[in-house]
Amino acid sequence: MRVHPEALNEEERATYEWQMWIDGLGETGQRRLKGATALVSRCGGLGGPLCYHLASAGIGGLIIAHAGTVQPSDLNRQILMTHDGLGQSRVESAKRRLLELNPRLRVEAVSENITEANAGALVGRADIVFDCAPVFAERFAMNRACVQQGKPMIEAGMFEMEGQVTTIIPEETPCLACLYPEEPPAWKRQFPVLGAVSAMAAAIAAVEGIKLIAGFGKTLAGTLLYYDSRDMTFQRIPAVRRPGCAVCGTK
Amino acid sequence: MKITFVYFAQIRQKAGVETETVAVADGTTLHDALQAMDHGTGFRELLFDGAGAVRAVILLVVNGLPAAPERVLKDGDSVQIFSPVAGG
Repeated sequence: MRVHPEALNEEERATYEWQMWIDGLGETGQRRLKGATALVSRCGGLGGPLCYHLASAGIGGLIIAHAGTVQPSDLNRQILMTHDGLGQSRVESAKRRLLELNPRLRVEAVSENITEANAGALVGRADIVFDCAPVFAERFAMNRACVQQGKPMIEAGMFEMEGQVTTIIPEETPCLACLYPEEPPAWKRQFPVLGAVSAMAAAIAAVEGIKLIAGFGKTLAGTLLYYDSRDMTFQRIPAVRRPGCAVCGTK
Repeated sequence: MKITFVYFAQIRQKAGVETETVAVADGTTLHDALQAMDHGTGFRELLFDGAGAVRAVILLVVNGLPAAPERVLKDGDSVQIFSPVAGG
């Protein structure tokens, strides 16, 4: 993927020393991470730990879009939110926690959810997109913008004790509309989940993004990774492009 | 023939079971086997559209690979049924 690498200073070399020892990442990959900006839709049980991992790994910028204020029911899984932040803006809480971890990080806190109206502009300012949203209309808007602009999107989700991650590369892999060509019936924005289970999906999604940005390893492009943490079963399922897909069918 | 079905996410909730082994006649398709199941209205509404076709958002996997509803089942097949998941 296209990234403009940025030079590291001595403090950054010291901070990221342990991961720059990883074969394939190195200082070249770290410079690419510093030069990259990611759009993360929602900073809840999935997007929160994902942002934390990207920030700790030294990504240069995060654009985080999430409306609303911190609620008590957020606190079982949304690890960027705190009790003393109840009633305050979610994205501002997230920004504060992320800057405590990495003060070099550029954080743009967008206090609205992604819609058809803002998806194109937000995706346009990012190099890579992470879909961590619970609402399908929001996910579909991001997917369309990513396909139109040729931006990779890491797609993650969970339910109860299960989770799923795949990496979408426009023109190469199925897009989200290939997997879900329509809004699922009877889908509710609120669903059962354990925080540690959403954090598993977040960590896997973060690794996918870091590999793509830094340019090493093999991603889940064209593969659905599905895990069931009840028995810790992990399964790889080929993801298939849908002929005539309304979003990527002509790409 | 005996076919094993394993359910995931919301469809597991609606089925009320995680896995089950079902006896079906030779030549039965995946769609027909699912239509014959008796797991209640919620299960059917999640799995089938108004015309009785398996919804496009449902991922059907037979022996580890994606499969179409028209797939003719074979004795010993392992079928997995995945309903959508999301962030939040």
